Amino acid sequence: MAEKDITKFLPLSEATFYILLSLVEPLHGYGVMQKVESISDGTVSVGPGTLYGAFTTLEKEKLITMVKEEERRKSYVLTAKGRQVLAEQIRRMEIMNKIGQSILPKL
Amino acid sequence: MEGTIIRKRRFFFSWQDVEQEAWLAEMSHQGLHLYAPGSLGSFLFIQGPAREVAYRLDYNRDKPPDDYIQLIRDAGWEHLGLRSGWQYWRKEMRDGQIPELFTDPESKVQKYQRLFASYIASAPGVSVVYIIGAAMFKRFPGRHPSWLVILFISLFVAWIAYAAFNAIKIQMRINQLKQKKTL
Repeated sequence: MAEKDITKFLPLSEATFYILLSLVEPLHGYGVMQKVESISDGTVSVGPGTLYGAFTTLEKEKLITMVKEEERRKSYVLTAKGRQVLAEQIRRMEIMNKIGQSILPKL
Repeated sequence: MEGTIIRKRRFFFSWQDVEQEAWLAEMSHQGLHLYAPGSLGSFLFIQGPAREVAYRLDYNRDKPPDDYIQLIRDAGWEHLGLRSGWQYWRKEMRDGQIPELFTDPESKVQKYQRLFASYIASAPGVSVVYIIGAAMFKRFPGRHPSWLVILFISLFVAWIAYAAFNAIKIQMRINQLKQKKTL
């Protein structure tokens, strides 16, 4: 039951994956945009309109929660459920990466 | 002259946000920078040196939350104004990179869905006007010249055709954005 609850979110989109990664610590919206850009080596950028929508969805699904609101800026952090989802995504990516690397020379 | 405000008129359908954005960027390229969207489809520009900027339009029927506007400002966008639900934003281009408010097709689709929903929401209001009008004609027959009845019906038919045309165009934009498939 709990397992199914988590896997229904997988696989995460690239943008959502990086948004969740950046929320291991509390961060406000623009902080998330900057962090996504830096940890993805500039390969992923999330626009503010898209990020706001993602926050709304992720909060509704209880993967993130609001921890602070000051000067019209909301800060969010991962919930326990959000951490589980992210950990499961990373575990799956590890498997895919391992098998992928072994096949790569044959391509 | 620099600093002079110039009013220009140009017609765009409500779903032609991309066309408006391109036109406004081209105006800035020529040294005319949007100052604010004006009334009746006009645009107020302020003259200055040519700039390479991107304009983006966002649609919200109701006033968007303060933290939403704040987040877009934090991301470096300049808020230029609001006209019939459309928010006008501008940001400087850096290293040839085009800045975006929406970076995935899903959130772009949602914007057009908000626009579509506002069309649907306006339908009951127009229907009520029609029903009241029709009831008046029926109640007081012969008191109205026939041209008035014809005008009334024509306006209503024209409105339906216009709304249907817009609704179809918005739906076409949505379908175009949804073309990217996950394998």
